[in-house]
Formats: sequence, structure tokens, C-alpha cells
Amino acid sequence: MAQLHHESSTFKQYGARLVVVGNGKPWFIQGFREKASYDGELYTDPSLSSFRAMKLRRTLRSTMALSTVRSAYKAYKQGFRQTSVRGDVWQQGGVFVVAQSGELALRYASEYAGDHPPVRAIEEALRAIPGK
Amino acid sequence: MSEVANPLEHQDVYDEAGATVALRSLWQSGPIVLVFVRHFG
Repeated sequence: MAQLHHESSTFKQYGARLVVVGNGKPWFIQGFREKASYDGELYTDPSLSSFRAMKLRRTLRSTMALSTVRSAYKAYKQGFRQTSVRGDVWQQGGVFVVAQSGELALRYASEYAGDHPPVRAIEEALRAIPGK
Repeated sequence: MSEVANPLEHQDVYDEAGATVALRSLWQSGPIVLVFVRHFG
């Protein structure tokens, strides 16, 4: 999330906005916004309905994977601290590029915490959207 | 660009005020990079 936030100006070059969706209650959004220093578009889906629609992983295995520990350590070294959890602890995330037409130009379901597609892949998907 | 059906067309989310927002309304003014985060932690 932090890395993608830093790339939001890159996405703007392609006429795209960064939109973040979490799954905690709406009243946790403000605290998350402050902690993540994120002032962009932020929504939530506590029902997880949209997470299920996109077939995002929700398993103990993906949450407790060794890769998760590595990602957490990397984030810690970069100064990011996870305190209390506001949402579904087993739920994994994902990244999608959606064209103005509604078509999906990129779909990426995270296998573990901290698993994101390379920014280059997102840029390629944005470049491939016709007529933007 | 490969054409892929979007299962989010009929999904809703909530904003900070608790108001319902149709996800499809978010890309109608241009493309978006939509990031689903694990939780607000």
C-alpha cells in the first residue's frame, strides 16, 4: 500500500487515480488515513463482498506464510508499524486496473501480505488502455 | 488491452461518512488503480 501510494503521481501521468478499499468499519478510515499518511480516495467494504467478487484470498495459510513475515520485516525496516488490526485479519488484498469502460486491464490477487504486482506491470496495463 | 468482465460492476463500498458508494461510479471519470488492502491496521 505504501509503495503504491508513493507511485500515485506515476499513475496520474496515465490519467489514472489511485483508489484504496479496506474492509474495516467506516469509522476506522480516518485513523488509517492518518497512520498511512494517505490523503487520497479511500473506501471500505466490511462485508467483504467485493473482495469475494474478485476472488481475493482469505486463508490462514496466506496470512501466516513465510513471505508475509519477510514483507512485514521489510515494511518495519522502512518505518511502517502495524499496531491494532481494523478489519479481517485473514483477508488478503489485491490490485486491479480498471478502464473508464469498466473493463479490467490488470487483475492481481495478493498471495500474502505485502505481495503487490510490480509498478511496471501497472504502468503497462494503464498504457494499454485505448483512448485514455 | 484484454477485455475482462468486471465483477465489481454491481458492488458497493462505504466512504468515511458511512455513505454507500457504487464502485462503478469510481471509474466513470477515468481509469483507476484499485487497491484492496488487507485491513486498516
